[in-house]
Amino acid sequence: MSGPALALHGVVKRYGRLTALDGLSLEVPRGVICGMVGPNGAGKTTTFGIAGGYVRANEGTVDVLGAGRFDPVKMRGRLTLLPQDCELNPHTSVAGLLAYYASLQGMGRRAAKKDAARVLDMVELADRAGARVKELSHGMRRRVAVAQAFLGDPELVLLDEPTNGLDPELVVRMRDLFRSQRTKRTLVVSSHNLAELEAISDHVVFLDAGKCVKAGALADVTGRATRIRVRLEAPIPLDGLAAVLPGVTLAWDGVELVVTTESGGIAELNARALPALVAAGARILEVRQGDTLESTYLASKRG
Amino acid sequence: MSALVTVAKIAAFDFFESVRSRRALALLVLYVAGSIAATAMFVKFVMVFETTAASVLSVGQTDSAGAMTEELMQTEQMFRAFEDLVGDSALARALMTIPPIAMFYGWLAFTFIPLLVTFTSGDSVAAEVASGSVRFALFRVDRLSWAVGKLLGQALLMLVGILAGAVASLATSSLLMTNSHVWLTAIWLVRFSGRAAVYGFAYLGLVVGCSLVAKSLNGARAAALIGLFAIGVGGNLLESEWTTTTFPVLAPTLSTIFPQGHDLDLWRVTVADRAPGIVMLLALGLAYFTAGYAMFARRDP
Repeated sequence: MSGPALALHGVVKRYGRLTALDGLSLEVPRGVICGMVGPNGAGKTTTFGIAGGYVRANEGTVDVLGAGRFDPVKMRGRLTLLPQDCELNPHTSVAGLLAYYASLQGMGRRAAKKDAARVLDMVELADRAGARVKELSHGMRRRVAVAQAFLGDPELVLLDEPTNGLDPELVVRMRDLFRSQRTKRTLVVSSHNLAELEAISDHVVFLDAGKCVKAGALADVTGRATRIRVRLEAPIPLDGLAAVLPGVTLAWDGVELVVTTESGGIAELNARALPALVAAGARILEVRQGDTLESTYLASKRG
Repeated sequence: MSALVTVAKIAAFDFFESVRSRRALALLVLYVAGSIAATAMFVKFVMVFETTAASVLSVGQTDSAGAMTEELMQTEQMFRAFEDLVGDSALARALMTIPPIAMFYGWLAFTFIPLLVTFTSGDSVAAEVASGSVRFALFRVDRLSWAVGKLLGQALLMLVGILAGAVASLATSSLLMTNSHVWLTAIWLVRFSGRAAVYGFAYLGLVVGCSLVAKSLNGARAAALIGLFAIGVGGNLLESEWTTTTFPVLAPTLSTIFPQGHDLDLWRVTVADRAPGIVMLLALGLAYFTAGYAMFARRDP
């Protein structure tokens, strides 16, 4: 299997006079965890709906797993989704509801029950299997909602703000869960918590006003492959340093020294630049690889 | 997995989810309680009727209600009364073979099932769209299977309600009146329950169709009630004497798209006589549902 897990080209979606997606084009490679970032109203939820096949695009093409527009019958179980702010059916037991969803994905009764137990165990809710959904706390319901997205063996999982409303401890557990899926399937995760996305993602997509404003591998987007940021006790003159560090660009951004290599890796850059800085009299307080996702995102917003 | 299996799974889930919800259960209990109360009132009416008849005829009064009625049902005078009522001697003769309590429950179910389905199923789809729970299903199954599954789940709920009402009616009548044909009554109650379900299906198609169109819970409930009201007023207007005499061709033609235009067919005894009505009512239910689905299929849930 080759080609991206999800590809959208020139997708337009209008709700009456409001344009939610304005010619959106993006690609999510297979086997990555892709963080989708954007302000409220950027079009993340609409993008998930279109990818999941239940929201219709007005224009453009959508390709899910190389099979064109998602068809829940032909592609049953290959894509799963955690929709944003949606309530689960309240009256059925947790295990019963998950087994029902699994059966809709084509599993037999026994297999569906077994898989429901598996995903409940995955989100640490095995002890609440018999409880009705309405009896669960908000956090537990959210975990059940996450669990249903891992029923079966989906190739592409879309998670729209999966940790919304969860306490910090649960957020960490969910993050571990998502990381554990890295080699098994493609995950697209949207969140306003950029630190959380940064911790799990290896590919990012920035959306704004229904368009993709930046996309790529996290290391490329944040400059982690080519850049270090050095915090110094006090600024030092950079003129002399440029001569002893050929192929390296040094710039002072007001707070930190940004050191960028034109070739070679970060380890080589560190090995060359840090001794040169110390030799030039710099007193180093902190060295970070590239920019944070947050600063990269905010920079992209500023244009 | 075939589409039929998918639909069956959705219908079964929807039925049990509805039964577990307190609202649907409360409405079914209310319907059963109504059946008990109405049956008890009917028995009381029979008792008063028999007492009066015994007094007029100067004969001894029976110990419990029903004994005299069973005899009366076999008389020529009763046949003529039925014939005058329905305007069809064959139908009148057929009606006389039906136990009175079954006939009464048939009338009761035909009268109240439209209201029951409006309240139990009027927001069945809209509730899932409003809460967003539909989105957990729509990437697993196609929209049509989901919508048809919902319709059949609600149809099953309606059927269970009608049968529960029939059992309650049989139990009440057996306790309060003489009924020497309990099994025959039970068989006829089952038959009328099936016919009431067919009649109710037309209304169910209407309210589920409204629910498929509406964008909010309150909108769905209002649309179902307005739809029920419009069908009720429109159907009765088309069957009124003034309309049928003023528009002798148009009124009966238009009447065929209303459930009331076919309810009399369901009282007929032979399957061949009932078949046109059954087919039309099922078709009407599906037509109302399809009209709603046509809009649901085009919008984003």
